[in-house]
Amino acid sequence: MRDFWQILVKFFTSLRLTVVLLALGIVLVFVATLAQTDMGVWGVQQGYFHTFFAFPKWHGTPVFILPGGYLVGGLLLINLISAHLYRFRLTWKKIGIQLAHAGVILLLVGELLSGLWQEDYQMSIDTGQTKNFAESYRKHELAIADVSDPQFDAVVAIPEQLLTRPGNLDTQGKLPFRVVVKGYWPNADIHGPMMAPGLIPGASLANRDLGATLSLTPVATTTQDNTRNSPAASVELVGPDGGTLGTWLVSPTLDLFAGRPQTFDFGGRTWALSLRVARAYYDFSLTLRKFSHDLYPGTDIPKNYSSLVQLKSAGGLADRDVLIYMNTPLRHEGLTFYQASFANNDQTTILQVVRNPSWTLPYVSCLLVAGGLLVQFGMSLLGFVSRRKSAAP
Amino acid sequence: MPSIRPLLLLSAAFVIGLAAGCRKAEVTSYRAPKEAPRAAAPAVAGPSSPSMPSAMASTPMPTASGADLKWTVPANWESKPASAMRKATFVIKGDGGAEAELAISALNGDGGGEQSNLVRWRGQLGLPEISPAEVAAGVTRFEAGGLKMVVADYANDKATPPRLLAAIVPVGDATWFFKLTGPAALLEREKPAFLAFLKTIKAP
Repeated sequence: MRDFWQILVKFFTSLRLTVVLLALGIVLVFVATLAQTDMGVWGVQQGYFHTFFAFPKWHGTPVFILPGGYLVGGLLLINLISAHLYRFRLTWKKIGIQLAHAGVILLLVGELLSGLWQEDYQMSIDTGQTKNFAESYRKHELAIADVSDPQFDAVVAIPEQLLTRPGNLDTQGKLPFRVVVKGYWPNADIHGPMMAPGLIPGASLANRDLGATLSLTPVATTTQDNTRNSPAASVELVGPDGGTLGTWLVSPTLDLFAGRPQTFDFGGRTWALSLRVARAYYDFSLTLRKFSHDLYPGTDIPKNYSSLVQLKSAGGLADRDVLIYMNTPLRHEGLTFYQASFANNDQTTILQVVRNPSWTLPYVSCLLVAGGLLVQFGMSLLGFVSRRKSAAP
Repeated sequence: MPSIRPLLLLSAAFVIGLAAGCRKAEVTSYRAPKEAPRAAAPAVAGPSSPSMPSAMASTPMPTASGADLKWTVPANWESKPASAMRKATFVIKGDGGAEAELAISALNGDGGGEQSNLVRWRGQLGLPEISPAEVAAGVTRFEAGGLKMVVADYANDKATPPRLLAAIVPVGDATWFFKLTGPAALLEREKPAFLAFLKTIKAP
């Protein structure tokens, strides 16, 4: 037993492991950079870095296995920490090296936490419009809302992941009826009623509203930066007495075609049903006062993009104007709003909304590494200078 | 020699941290103020691309709501009620119960683009893939009533329906689609009428 631990400790504290891991890290970054042309930034992050194993593909087929970012980073972290515990001695002479290593450890931990905690959303606001929610890039949700109240909608949001398996959905008693998933497609085109090979007729997926008259083609999912998947699902609602209320085809494409959400009446209330981009609601709102798109005089070359927004919290604690522009985001309640894009003839701004509780860690770790190196080299320099002085005739 | 325990503890903390960090998908409920209806479709932007988002095949597009076009149809074309997705639908009856359908729809912007619509239609008819240049060369282009029209005529005996005769017409900031599908013989008979019909189309 003791021998086994000795071997383990020797393995995890060895400098060879560090070198191998750093080399693997270089290979991983190189292969992932090549893969980015096909998969986009987000796809590569998920497929190469936020995973234990990566499977690089050549024309769609995996060709070999690489240790993923979590495995390389995690082993490097254990390697560094155990080297500190078993090989290094905590002495004043080596304090700089210790500090620099602490910085690297913090950097690795920070990257892990970012991967686990970071949420990316986008908020697109028209000039004069007020928004208190942002929308996800990739995630979708089935929103079932009681829209009877003239001022508020009571929304129950079911994440897309729960729709992937057919059967009864557990809505935790939040709805007066049961939701049964009949079918799910992660990315699908919605077509008119015309039948053609490969199309699934809507009549086999829905018997209520628009879906029954349309048809659907499943298509390959995308992870590219500028495209989105448009999922579709066939959903049956069953009343408390076991009687069916009907089956609906839901998809973001279908809602846009129709220009309205699909609605139905149940229990004397009106309900809306839609599969939409997942939303995150906030207890403050942003109103776009002005979006500016400045060009260098006499050219079409963009000089600056900026959004002047009014930030207003629900409780009235905050009410101020903020200018968001390149590299100067708005930070509020743990969220960061970056100027990301624009649309609609400069009438709409698109802000990237990021929640990352560990965003300060990379800054702290860089300071630690820089400070550590300064101390270490400074001490060597001082020692060298004083030795030279004493050696001088 | 320090004990092995810190190493073990750290490894365990790493694994537990990973497990705890993975959030579970949960059903949520909340009250949200009603939204004012929006005219424009939400644009799709890359996470960090400071450029204009472009229309992609996977991006949903709303039916255009601009002013309608005016046209004259032959007497044998039967009008059917318009639906949410369609501006108009006509049914053309042939011999022996044969039936062709003309679907007219309009989408905002370029409606996904001429090229991708032509490729999609070829795909629907099960036609082999050809190069973009060949797709572009295989259509007829003309101008009528001040509108630029692109007409495609695709056929495949094995497909249902076996023939498609379609026109793509950009009007203002929308794109109109005139899609006639049905049996090959019936479409052959109606092709002159369809082309004549296209020439009657007028923007408001």
